Amino acid sequence: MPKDDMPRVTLGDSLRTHGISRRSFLRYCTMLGSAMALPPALLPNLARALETARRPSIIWLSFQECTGCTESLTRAHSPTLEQLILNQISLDYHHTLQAAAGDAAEHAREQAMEENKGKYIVVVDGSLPAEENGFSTIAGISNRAMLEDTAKHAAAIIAVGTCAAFGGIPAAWPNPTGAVPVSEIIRDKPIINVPGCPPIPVVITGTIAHFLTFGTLPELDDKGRPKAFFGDTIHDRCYRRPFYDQGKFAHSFDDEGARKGWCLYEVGCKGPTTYNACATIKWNQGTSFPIQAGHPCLGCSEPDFWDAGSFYKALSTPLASGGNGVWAAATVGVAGGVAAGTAAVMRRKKASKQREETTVDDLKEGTS
Amino acid sequence: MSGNELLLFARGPALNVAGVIFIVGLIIRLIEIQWLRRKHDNAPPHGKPWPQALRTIGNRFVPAPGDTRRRPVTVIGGYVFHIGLFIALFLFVPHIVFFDAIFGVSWPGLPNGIIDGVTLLTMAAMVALAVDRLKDPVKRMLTDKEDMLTWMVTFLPLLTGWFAVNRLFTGYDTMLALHLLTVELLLIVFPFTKLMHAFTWVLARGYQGLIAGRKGAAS
Amino acid sequence: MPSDSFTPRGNAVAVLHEVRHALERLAAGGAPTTFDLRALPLMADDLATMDRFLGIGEVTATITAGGRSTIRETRFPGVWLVDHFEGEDDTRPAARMIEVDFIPALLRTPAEDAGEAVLSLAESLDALRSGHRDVEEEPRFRPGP
Repeated sequence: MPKDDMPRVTLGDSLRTHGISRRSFLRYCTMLGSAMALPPALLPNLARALETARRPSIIWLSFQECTGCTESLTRAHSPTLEQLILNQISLDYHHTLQAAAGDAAEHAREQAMEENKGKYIVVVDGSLPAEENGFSTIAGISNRAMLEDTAKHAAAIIAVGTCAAFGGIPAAWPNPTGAVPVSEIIRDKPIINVPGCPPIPVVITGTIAHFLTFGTLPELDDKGRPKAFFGDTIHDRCYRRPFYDQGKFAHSFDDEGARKGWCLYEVGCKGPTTYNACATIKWNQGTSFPIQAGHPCLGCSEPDFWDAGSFYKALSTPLASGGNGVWAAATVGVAGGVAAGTAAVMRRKKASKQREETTVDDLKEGTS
Repeated sequence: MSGNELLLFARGPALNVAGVIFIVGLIIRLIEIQWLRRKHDNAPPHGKPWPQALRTIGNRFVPAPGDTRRRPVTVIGGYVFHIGLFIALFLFVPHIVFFDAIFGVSWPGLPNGIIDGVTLLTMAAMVALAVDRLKDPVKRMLTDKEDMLTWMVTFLPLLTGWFAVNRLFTGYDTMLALHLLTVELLLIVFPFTKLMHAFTWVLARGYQGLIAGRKGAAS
Repeated sequence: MPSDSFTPRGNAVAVLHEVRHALERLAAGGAPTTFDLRALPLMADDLATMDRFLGIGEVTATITAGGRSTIRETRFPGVWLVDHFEGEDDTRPAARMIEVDFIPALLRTPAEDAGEAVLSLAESLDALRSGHRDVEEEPRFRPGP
């Protein structure tokens, strides 16, 4: 973490000192803008604005999380520009990545907050206990208190990962720590949700870039996710989609369909209900994504994905397994049928007993 | 409630409740019908009752002579609707996966494009039948609330299913949930309305054939 | 694949007409225009036929700046096809643009770079004059990440 950077230093200056040329940054911005579906006319502006933007100060808070989101950003095969912008240039506090420890680490956070009051961005990964129940603390400070304190003077909060955005795995049933997403604690600051388990790195940097360039939040969907990346379902952008339309499916993980790369709907793919950019941006610098590797989408960027039924059961199937329930219902049905049938027979017998014979005289009376 | 939560409700508790009501109701009705059979007829039959029963089950698939010309909407619309519903219900792959999950049997399906067209045709036939029914004074008089209810609970799953597949109006999760919920409504209503004919047509036709066969009459 | 794979059809034709209007604006002294082909509803077929239709003009260039990009002027001067690649060996297409301009932005030397080059060139010449033969061999910028 460069501590020598003056607060006035621009992002462009920082990039130069890290050996990134203007041309390669322009190239990067073009590709980033294209990934964010920005109008092409804005692309030159994006590069210019980012060049001269003040080095962003980012305070990264990790709560009940697995560090997978940080891994996603830092464990790319070769260093990427997004990694550089975040790790090397912008991060003022990240307790997994920073060298400082203990009081010094907390001091770095306080200093960054003080120097960039009202301008810094808080990135949160992990969900946090809603109550002050002592389940998760950092340097003796509860997650909730640290988030509230840090968010107070933030320009915006980016909830990175499904845990921070929707509660994720810590909030999965039976949610022992009473975990909630960031949006349940902070109500008065703009929050951008970048869910995924983990999220795609360029989605995180793209969101930050948008904020730095335009000074506004990107357009968000009803779950607070940037529409540029979460506007389409995996299914709608999936290269296996034609097989779905043709009715060609893998029925198991080792059948002909699986080997031929057909649609994974039957083996539980959550692509149709999952909004994310995996099918277009892909992972590991555009190498592949789960469906391309032959595994159904787990739906990790959606709320409650962990509790949304088996990963390997098709979306159109019942959550409960049929079997016993069907037999129990059938037994009840047989018993009910016997009872209803008996009742009907009784009614018929009773009716025939009470029946009064109709005589010729009755008929005559009726016609007269 | 988000689309996801609604879908979990529709695939979980709602489906369980509807499924139990459907199965229990169906079996109650079928047993009840069997229980109410007539007394054994001791007279020697004039024809061959059982072969005629089987034949009647089959030959009633063919419309009566002249019927198609007399009431084309009812006959053609009726066929298009029933065949279309059968195809959409049993040959759409997500449905086959559904049946497989419950009964453990599966069969090959049709491409989605075909199912899509068939579903549109089926809905068009249903609309035509409803319009014909409301315009014709006799049929209109014969139409009661149950007819409207059964039409509605049959039409809604087709409509919501078609919307879900074509991503119309809402996300796939919400529309799939609505589709499942309308199917669950159908399942609940099914055993206690005339929709039971989907199971009793075999019994009714067979019975007609059996009686006629005993009497040596045609059927 | 249609038998005549050189004839653009459908949306490709519509895009090419937009390119024509952009070129008219540029020729009349107006602003340059960029088309992000990935953001347009084009099929792989459309892209291929469009590529062939635009043809190869007088200039082709490769840029190595944090990855590989190729730029080529089409047979219609002022219409440039810019391809960006990424991945381990810079072969995976990441973005494709049509730029209608006298020179694509990426090809032009940034003014600040030229300003800095004045210094570095002067330094190198000074070193030459003072008899030092170890002229800076390292590129000013690392080829990038």
